[in-house]
Amino acid sequence: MTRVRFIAKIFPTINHMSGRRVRKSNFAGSVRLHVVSIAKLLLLMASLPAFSATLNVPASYPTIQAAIDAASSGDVVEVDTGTYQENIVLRDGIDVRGIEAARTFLVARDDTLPVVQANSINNVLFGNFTINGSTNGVTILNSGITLTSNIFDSVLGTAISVTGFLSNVEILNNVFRGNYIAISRFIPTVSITNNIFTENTFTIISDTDQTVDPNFNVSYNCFHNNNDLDVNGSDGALGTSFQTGDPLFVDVTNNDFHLQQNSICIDAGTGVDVIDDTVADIGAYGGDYADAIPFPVSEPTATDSSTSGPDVFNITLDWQANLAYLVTNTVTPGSYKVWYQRNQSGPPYNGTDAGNGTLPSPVTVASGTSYTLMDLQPDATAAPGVPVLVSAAPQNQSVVLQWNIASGATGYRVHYGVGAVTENSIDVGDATGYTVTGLENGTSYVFAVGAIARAVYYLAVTAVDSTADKNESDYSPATAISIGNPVEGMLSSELAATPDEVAPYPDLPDKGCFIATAAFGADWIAEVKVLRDFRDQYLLTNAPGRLFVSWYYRHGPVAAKYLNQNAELKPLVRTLLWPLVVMAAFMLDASMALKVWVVTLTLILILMLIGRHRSKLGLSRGEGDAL
Amino acid sequence: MSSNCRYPQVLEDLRVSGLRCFLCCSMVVASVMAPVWAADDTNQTQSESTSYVAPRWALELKGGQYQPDLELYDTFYGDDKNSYWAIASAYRLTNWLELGAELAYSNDEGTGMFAANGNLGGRVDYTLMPLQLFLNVRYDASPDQLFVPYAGIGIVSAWYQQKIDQQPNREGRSDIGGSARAGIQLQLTQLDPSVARNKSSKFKTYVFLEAQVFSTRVDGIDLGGEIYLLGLRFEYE
Repeated sequence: MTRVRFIAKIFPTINHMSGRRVRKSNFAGSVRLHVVSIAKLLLLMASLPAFSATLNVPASYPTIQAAIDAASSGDVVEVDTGTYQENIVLRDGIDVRGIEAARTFLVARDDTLPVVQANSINNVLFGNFTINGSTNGVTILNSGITLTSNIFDSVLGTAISVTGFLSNVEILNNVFRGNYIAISRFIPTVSITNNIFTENTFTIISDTDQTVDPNFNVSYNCFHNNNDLDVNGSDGALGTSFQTGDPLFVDVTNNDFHLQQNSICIDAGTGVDVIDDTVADIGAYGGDYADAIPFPVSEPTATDSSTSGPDVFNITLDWQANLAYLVTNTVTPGSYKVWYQRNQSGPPYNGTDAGNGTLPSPVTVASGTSYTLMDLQPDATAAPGVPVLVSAAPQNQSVVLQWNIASGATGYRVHYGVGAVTENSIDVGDATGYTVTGLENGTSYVFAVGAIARAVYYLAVTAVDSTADKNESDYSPATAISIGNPVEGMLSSELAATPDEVAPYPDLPDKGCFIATAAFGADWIAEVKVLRDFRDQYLLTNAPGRLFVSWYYRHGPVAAKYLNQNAELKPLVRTLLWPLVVMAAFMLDASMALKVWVVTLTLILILMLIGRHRSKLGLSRGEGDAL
Repeated sequence: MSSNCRYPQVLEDLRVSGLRCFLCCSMVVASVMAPVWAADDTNQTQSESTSYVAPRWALELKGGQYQPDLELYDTFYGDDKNSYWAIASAYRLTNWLELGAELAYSNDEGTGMFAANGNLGGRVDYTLMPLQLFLNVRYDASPDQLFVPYAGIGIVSAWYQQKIDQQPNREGRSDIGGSARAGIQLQLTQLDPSVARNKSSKFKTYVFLEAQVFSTRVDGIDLGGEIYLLGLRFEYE
């Protein structure tokens, strides 16, 4: 349809074929006109190149495959950033390209199938995607295709597999990292140029029969830490004009495969970079098809740096550097832009009040990764709504308050007092609950909550490269910060509460921890107390006991002194004393019936063990006699 | 908490319930049957060809429900029951008698009461860890016996802790009290034919149902209650 509309525009005769104007001319003339027009049209269609349409995913088509199926030969399917879980089947003459390789991910929906298949097609360019984590990446059979500016990361099987004698494939400016097999080719008509191979188990294999010379059609590639290659180049399977060494990717864990300054892959390929018009880099960001968009900056941090007097408000923003060599460079550095906006999140970040109105958003930061927006004008915002104080639950010397969110609030202020809520106030942040402590038990307090509002600034950063085009990244994730003088809304209704000590149920005494003390060696006092009570109740009440106590008091201090001088013996002594402590506790705490019961049980057990022992002895003697 | 069963006076502080009736009956049966099992055991020991010696050591992992003997428990903790987890180890003195120890854990969150006005309020986290020493009578007469009934008695003391918001924790140990238990074990190893054929196996695994009742006091407050447990028992030589 697009092509027909275009031809009609440049060749108006075609409109006559609709019949409206033809009725005024004679029939013969009309026929001649038609024949000539059709002939001209046919000639023009034959001579003109096909005009391609661009089909956008997901704006116009929900899936990449849907766009491919709807496209005509010569069209381009353009895929926006995001993660697409699909198994794509390419079609003849239809290019498929991501907007931004670093942030346009392809993952297999059915992992038994490759992410991308090309079967018997020609004139296709597939590029600017990151394919990671799937079992197989791209499978090509008898096809003519260019694979360019892609990143194949951690593919569990084969990243690119080419089979079929009719295939003619160009693998250009890609990155292969951490794949089991980077490229498998059955035929030599697969050219492998300007690619980076790093940390792959197998780099370039030639089917199981090794039918293709691994050096054939392999040039200007970079190799680093691949398991099957000697990257020093002695094994001769690196092709021609290769580089070996660390390519210095910016941030592999965040899928940023741009190159850092001093990378050996910069200007080391063949051809020209579309980004900076120099010799092509090796990797996904070199050559004719690289996307020029810098990787976005991570979320910046904002701090309130309003320090100099009242009504002077500053925000200091810090962010991580984009280390791509076209941004962070000691010779020709790029720059950053700080975007801000008051009281509204998300783009367009069209703030105007920084520098007291002289520094509208965005502010260009030529160097460094920090910037202070000074003299902001956070106008008094509208008063926030009224929170509803839901509960005031008393506790020991404290009261727990809960309230509902108030519209427009950026924070809350708790008011309380004995006679009136105006006696005390505390700013408690943006939570909807707070525990007021330091109160007096038995005294009734009244509480209320007011919502406060301050201007909220939303800020983001973009990276700008050093090229003539000054390519700019997408916005970083936004950060928000409240500054300015607070405006407090009306107070909530009041609630009263009287803090008091809480008695648990059951109301158990705090006796210290018997078991824990024995186990962990702390708070020995409890055990000592047990022994002391045992002394008082069982030893000092009879003559033999008093005799023992007397003996102990004569010799005990000597032993205690020795123990204090040899602290390493204390655990051993405690271990030895523990059975006595248990026995003493039992004697102190157990009822008489229980004591009799346990003693009887113990005696029975002992008698049984003795009986069993004798029985075994008798059996042994019997066996001896029999022998 | 009602039953037609009557208890001896010595157990007057244990409230009457079906479980307590069952445990009481189990005790009686175990007491009566124990000498018989002991005689069987002795006979088997003397007849070497037919002797069966059960694995000596046992480890039990079990969990279930604990119903405290505290009348207002549901008022403060929402309901009158709580989860209960325990690990126990036992040593077989004879085929029919074992001695063991069990450490259990129970935790509940509830509310407290204000001292001044008696209103409910505050947040209380209550942990109870009873430690038991027990003596079980088991009927385990042959290696391929599928069901093993058992009953036992023991002594118990519990460590407790009460965490109260904005107040110091309370913790301590209860007095030594008594416990009783009974249950039935299903030998899982007998359900696997290949294992069952191996009569000389030194390992046995059981799944079991167990009921316990215990009583232990702190300043007159009984921390005990009734417990129903499902567990796994591993026996080894």
